[in-house]
Amino acid sequence: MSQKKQTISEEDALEGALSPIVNKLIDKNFENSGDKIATQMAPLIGGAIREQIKSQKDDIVDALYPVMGNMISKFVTKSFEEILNKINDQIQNGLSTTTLKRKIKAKIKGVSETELLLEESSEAKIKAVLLIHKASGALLCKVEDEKASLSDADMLASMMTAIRSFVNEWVENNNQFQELGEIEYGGNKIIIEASGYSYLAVIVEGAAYTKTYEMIRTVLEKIVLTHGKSIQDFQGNFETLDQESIEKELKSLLLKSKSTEAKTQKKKSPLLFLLPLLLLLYIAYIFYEKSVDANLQESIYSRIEATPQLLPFKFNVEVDDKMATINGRVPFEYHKQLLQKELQNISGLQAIHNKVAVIPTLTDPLQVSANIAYFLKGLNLEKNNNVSYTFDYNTLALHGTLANKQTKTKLLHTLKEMQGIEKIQDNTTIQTPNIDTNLYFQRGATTLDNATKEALLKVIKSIKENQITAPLQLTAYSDMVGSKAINTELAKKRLQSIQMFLQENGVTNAIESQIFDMPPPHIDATKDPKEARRITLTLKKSKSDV
Amino acid sequence: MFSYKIVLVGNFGVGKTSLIRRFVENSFSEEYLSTIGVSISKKTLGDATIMIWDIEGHTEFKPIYKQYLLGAKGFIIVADLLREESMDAIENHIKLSREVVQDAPVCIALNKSDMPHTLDDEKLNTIQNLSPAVIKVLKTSAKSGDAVEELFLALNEVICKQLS
Repeated sequence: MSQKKQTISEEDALEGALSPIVNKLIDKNFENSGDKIATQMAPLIGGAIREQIKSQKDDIVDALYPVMGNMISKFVTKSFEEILNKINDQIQNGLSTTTLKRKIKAKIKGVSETELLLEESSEAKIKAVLLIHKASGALLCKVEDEKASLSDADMLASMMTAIRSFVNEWVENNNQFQELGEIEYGGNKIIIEASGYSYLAVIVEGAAYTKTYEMIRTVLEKIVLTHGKSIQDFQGNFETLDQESIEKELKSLLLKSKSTEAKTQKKKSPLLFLLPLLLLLYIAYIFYEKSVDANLQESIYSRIEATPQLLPFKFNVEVDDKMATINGRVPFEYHKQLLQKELQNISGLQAIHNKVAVIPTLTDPLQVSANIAYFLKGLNLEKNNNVSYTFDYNTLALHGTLANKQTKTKLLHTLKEMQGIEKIQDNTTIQTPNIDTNLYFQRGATTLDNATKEALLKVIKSIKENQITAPLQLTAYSDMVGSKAINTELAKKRLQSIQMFLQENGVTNAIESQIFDMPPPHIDATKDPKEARRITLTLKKSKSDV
Repeated sequence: MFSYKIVLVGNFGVGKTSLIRRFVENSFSEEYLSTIGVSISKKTLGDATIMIWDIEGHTEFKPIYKQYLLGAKGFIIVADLLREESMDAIENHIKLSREVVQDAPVCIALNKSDMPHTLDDEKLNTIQNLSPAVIKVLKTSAKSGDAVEELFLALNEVICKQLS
């Protein structure tokens, strides 16, 4: 016994002596090889936690709850911040009319753009609206989406009231003036909007936004305004309540949320696609018509340009629907008619409104000058006409030569008739063609030989070509051989032959004749009797011609 | 068309829930399930829809939430014939109910009448005279269904008269 006791006391003594040393050693070991211990312990800790969870789940949950809660909320906050940042980036970067509109809307409404953006992406859908008597929980009125009918609205109304009552009682005990605003379940929520004697419980699917709350508030305000008294006095008898009109109000809430939905899903009428197409076709048709018209206009202009008579005038051509309207001014009806005639040849033109005015009173000096130029150009085309002019506002000076007097008379007459010319200085001279011809006869002969006939035909041709109407002068000379009487008789007969020949060939000019019993001047009859024995044909020089 | 709310008030375990179950579903369960918060049942009688509020029974530590009594058109105060303290509490319950709703009729159900009990007429009269609002005092049994229908019908009759 005593031996046993002794052993125990020895053990105690040994333990007392060793324990400080062992503790020290362990501490030292932890200090020196902490890493090694950690590696050895690690697999054990995992197992230990698993075991603890199996047997004492609640313990672990409680132990971790404060940390877990923080961790989760931190994670959620972080994720949400990221989403918000993304949305904000979207708002700041994407600058379109819609974002601009949204920005303004956000400023006016005083809500964040983010909320508006969220609102745009998902619409709140109101499934049911209950108007509930605040105190008794009686269901005063309800409307619901046909797709989501409530199983027992009366019960819901009472339960909602009970829950509200509970919260209000609890809140009252806690001295806080707050009311239950909404109850969330799953993706839905019940929004509670209370007035004095009633409250609305609105069952909303999806997220609700400021707009939704505003809508609900407005409807409740309306109901309270019109039915407040009857709701206040409601004891349980529905006859005292105008349920129909309340239902109408509540329905408006349902419809409002639906209309926004319908807006996005509304099928577009095929007419909406057809209309722009028709419009496009119409525009194309108009363009085609316009190009046709433009081509017609072009060809009218080029036709006018190709007609010299019309060149001096300015025309304004408009073509609409293949109908040409031509405005402009011409001095003479002739030009107008000419224009009409030219345009009728253009194919594709359906109608011509020739509104060209014939204005004889062209007093524009340039126009007058152009008219003169045009007229003279025509005149100068005729042989031996070469007239130029200077026009110094209403005084016209003419220079150059004219073929004959008639031309000159005609020229002056026309110019006098022309508007815008007051004075004419005529410096023109008449350039008559030289038809002077010597006609020779054989000695003693009175008939025309072939050479003479040929010479005469040349003269006749010239007279006709130049339209010479002036009298012709025939002068007969003598070779001084033989008696004067014989020579005179011969000369008379010769003159007759010439006159006859001229008349036979259509010359109607007056003919004057002279007979000289002498050779022509500067001709020696003895040396060259044939040259002396001749009749000269000249144009009789009138006084005005000189 | 009427719709009104009645509330059953009483101490815990007196059989409020059982009475309602008997009246609404005509059934009974021996099992005791304490009502937490409030449970609401609906019963249609003629053209009246009665919302019956079964609230958590009163205990020493938990007062009845007055909010639950708001807007009630009538009260059924329930006591357990076998539990003296529940009978004594009737007066307080009447007081409380009338504090919240002044002119609501009150029916008193003395429940568990199927069990042997000792209740003399004197006591019954005392209860009847507790308040002018008391329209009827009935010994009921949710288990046997005795006088349960009568209890609710009596209250309904008075309320419907008031409402129309």
